[in-house]
Amino acid sequence: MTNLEKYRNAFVEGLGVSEDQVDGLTFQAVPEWDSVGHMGLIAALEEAFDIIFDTDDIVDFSSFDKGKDILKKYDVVIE
Amino acid sequence: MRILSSTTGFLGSHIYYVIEGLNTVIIDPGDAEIAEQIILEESLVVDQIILTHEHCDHSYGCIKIREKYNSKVVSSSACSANLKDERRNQSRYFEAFATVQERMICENPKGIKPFSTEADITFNEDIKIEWKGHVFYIRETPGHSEGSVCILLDNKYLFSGDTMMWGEPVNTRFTGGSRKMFEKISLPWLKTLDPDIHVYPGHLEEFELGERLKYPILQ
Repeated sequence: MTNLEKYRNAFVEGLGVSEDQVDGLTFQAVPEWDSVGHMGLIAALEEAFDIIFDTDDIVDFSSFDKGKDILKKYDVVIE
Repeated sequence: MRILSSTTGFLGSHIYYVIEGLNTVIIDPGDAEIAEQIILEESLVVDQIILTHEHCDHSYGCIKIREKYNSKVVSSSACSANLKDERRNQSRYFEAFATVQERMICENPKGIKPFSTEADITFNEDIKIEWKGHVFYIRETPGHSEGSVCILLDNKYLFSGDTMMWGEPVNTRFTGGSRKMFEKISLPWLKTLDPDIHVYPGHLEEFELGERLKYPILQ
């Protein structure tokens, strides 16, 4: 599985959204991505990429696109 | 017998103290400092701590209380397993969760630091504990979390944790939660109980079981 596939899958599994909702998704744009969903997403990403987010990065992770930039800090390139 | 309660600064979670004489069983000591206020005010001996589930706003304080008052922690096996994991007990994310939430959920400036622990006494499905002439019947009620239980005391009082609250549906969306398990296992059992049972929930106000069951529990 590519990093991009793992990344998209984390959104699907962590938030409980469908694959076609993922691109460009932002926090609170859908009911599933509320604060509870956000923690599920973070847990799914940590598991997928075997990383531990800093608290500040968890708070700043506000969109599908922003998340890709944040993951670069953890040496995870999404492509 | 008396039942006292106090409310923590962690999402307003409740701590309950079942007291007989000078002995107590404490349910969900989420904040050790708050629990200790009652312990000292009432000069209590802490015989046991029972956890309704693994989430940190309910379990965080059990480590200090257990150690300081030489008591034992009772939980389901699933709860104990999840207490060991900072993600599954939610402590790793509490600080971020408190920031991301739009409303104030953490009124304790010390917050919750990531932790890992486990229970001393665990069980699967259910367990009966006799204490000072009373009976705690503790039964697994998965749904809100994998390790959730409800605690039925003397068939009169139910400590429901986050499995059932007044005015709010049960939240099965946290990691380890399951709407399916709640529908299949927990809700059917709750419906067999006496409707006059008084419920002490993990958050918000107390209520009678029958009154709550008149309204949908699930969203």
